[in-house]
Amino acid sequence: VISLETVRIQEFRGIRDLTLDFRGRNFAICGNNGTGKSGVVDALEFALTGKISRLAGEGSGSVSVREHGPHVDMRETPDKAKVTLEVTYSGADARAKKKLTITRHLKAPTKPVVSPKDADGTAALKEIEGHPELVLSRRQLIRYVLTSPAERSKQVQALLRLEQLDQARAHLLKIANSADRVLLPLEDSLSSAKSTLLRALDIPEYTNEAFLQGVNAKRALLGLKVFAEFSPTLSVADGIDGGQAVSRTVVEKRQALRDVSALKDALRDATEAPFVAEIQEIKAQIEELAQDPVAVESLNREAFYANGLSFFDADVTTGIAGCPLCDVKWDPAAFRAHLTEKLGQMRAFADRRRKVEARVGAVIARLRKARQVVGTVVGQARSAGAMGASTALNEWGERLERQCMELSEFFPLARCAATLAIVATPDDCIEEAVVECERAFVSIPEATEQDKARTFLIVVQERIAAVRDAREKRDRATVKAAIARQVVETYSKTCDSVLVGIYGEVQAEFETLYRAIHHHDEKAFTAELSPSTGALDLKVDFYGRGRFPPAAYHSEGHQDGMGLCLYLALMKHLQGPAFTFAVLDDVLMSIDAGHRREVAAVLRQRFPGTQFILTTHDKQWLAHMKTEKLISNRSSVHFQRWTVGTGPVMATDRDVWQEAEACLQKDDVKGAAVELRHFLEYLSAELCGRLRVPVEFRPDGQYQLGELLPKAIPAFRELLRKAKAAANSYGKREEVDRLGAQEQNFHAVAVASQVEMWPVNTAIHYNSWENLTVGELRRVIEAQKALTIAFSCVACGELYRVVPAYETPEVLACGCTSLPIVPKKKAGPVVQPVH
Amino acid sequence: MSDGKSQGKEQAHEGVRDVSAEVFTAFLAALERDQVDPMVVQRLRVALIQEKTVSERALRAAVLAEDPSP
Repeated sequence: VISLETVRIQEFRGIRDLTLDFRGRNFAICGNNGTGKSGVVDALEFALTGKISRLAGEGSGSVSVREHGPHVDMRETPDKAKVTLEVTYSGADARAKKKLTITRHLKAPTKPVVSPKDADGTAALKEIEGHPELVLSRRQLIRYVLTSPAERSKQVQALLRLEQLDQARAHLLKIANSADRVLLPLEDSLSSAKSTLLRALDIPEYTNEAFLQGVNAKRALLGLKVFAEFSPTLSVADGIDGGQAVSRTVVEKRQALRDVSALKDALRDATEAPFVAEIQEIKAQIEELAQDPVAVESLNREAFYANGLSFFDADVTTGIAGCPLCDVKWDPAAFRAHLTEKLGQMRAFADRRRKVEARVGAVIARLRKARQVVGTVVGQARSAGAMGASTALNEWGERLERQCMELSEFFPLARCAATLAIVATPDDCIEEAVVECERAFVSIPEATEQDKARTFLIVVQERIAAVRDAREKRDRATVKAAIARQVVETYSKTCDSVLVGIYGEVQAEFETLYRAIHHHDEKAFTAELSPSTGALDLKVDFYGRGRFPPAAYHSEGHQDGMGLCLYLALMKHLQGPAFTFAVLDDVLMSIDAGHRREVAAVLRQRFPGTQFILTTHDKQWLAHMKTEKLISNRSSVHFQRWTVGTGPVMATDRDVWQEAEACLQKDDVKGAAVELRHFLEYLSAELCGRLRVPVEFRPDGQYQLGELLPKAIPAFRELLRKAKAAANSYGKREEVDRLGAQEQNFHAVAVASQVEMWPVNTAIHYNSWENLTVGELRRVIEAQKALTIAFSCVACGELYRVVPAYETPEVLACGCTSLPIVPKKKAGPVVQPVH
Repeated sequence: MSDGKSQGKEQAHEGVRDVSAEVFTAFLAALERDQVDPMVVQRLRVALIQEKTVSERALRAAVLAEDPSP
């Protein structure tokens, strides 16, 4: 929890040497465009985060903090450019406040010098470094409102620090998908193993009965115990060779012939016309991709960026946040956004790739099936003495294995296409090998029934083991895939649920804040902040006619107000009690004077624990901040002018009475008169607006002081009288007495000010003030000061105002109380119902 | 039994709100409630809460119990 005490800015941006004393309070910097206000904002952001938003992002081109942060005359000696910020913060013990000095040099933006070296202070600064949103300009503010749902989602997610959530979601989804992809080859493998077993059992379809029938027949023939029932752990070769380890030394003729028949089928499958045509099509698509230089570049880079992102994520966890290629240090969020944007640009090519890869996957499945059959026959051929065929088939099996791997890898595209070109054209020697195998198997002498039974049981047992192994692998992968799927689905559901809750709370806060600013004209305002994957839609009510995007019907000023309210709602929600300061850089330039006053009231009343540093080019807005007590008279400065050589030329913004007195001290009667006149012109307009005083309308808005202030006095007197009468009607004697005293006091100071004499006595006009002596003008100033104070609440110091500002007046309000001005309704006579 | 959202809120402290931590806490609670393998939940807890990482490698190791070494 930090508040800003002072800032000293040296040789930074357009500032040579400037010190501002915030004293931990709200503070305003007023000045025309180009007087250096934003330099102060940049300096605060730089001191706290090491960054300057205005020198980053879209449109900033080759501008950088290190090169363009120092004053233009100090580019050769950037070591003199620095910002020193004194802050008060509370660490682990929120009650104990400590001072901390942060000095950040432009030559080393990432290495602030913190004094005293204190773990809590360093931690507090670290926390703020992660929250650059504490500095808000209008350009940033409109990003929350006038933008696409996807861009708004990005902005809000960045503000709420939700990047991690999206990353986790993407990674968990990728993991679940890859776990699913593993299942397909394992299913294929299990299916092939089952087919191989069925061939050994010589049954077309597996049933426990058929299985037991075949196995028991052979076991009975060998005099072995038959199995009464099927069991998953059954060992069909149990008892052969007296329990010694069984090994297959002979080839069972019919079994081998069945297997070679399956091999011929696989060979036919691999060369049949539809399959060949399919392969040709896939190959053509891959060649098309390979011949498109943009596609190749994109696909290669996609893999490169995806890997880069993966390496970076792994490095971040070990505290290294740099580009994995060149080691340049990066802000993790910025680096991810950078690579994610690049990956997004390649999405079209990635989609093409995925479609082709899916077709390649079907080819791989068929090759794997052939590979399994080949493996079965290779051993039998060897045992049957067909050594040449065994070797050729073994090589083919290995080639199939390699082809599966090359197709799975997909890249390089040329290799993938080349592999596809040969998968459907096995060497001629394979067909010869198949013929040789068949010949060898046919020539196997018919074994005795006992030998056949023995070989049968050994082969079946081997193939059962293969099926079990394949099933086990498939089952393990299925469990993993199910868990991975459940994890990502649970994550998505939970994430959405929490975010919907958060956005709901932010929406409610946004509505409340906006209604507070626009209670005159949009007191029934509602909004809808609806999140969906990767987007955040904002629709707002337009005078009960429906909900529309903010830019649809609302004015620019209303949109600015929405941006500020959404920002404040998000910050309140994100930072809670830690939202202790914010820098608002001319964010309300489009909001009209009436609503700015409400903004000032909202900031003061609803964010009492937040120190706002505000910049504005509008003196009237500054005056509103003061009359609404958002800032005190001593908490503002005026930047009068700026030159490259001097930087901003500052005038401390003292209150009018101090300024006028300062003039009188110098015998500057004219200066004091001008100060007083300007202030009274502002005050009279403000009073007439606040108290709803009827005045003659002037289309040009050029009202004379004498047209407004003399009318505000009787109007306020009448309001006090009405408030007293209302208090009396409610039986509030103390209030009546207090208001009576206030009325008398107001009458006395009004008379003393002679303002009501203005229309009939030109001697009291401000034109005549210049001719008064110092003593005479001082008395006038004191009388006007007393009158000004009398228009304000004694307790909170705020000028009174009539509420509501439209329709029937109900109360006379200030910052701390509301006085009814409508008497309590008397109970009327009982009216008898007429039948 | 409290829902995921409220469990997530328990994570919130008086300082800056950590929405990610809220979501992760609620997510782990939901996995436990759904009786997902406790080892998987524990590995995810270590990655997301203790080590504060959401890298693909760490999550893959947590979900699939795969060796994260390259």
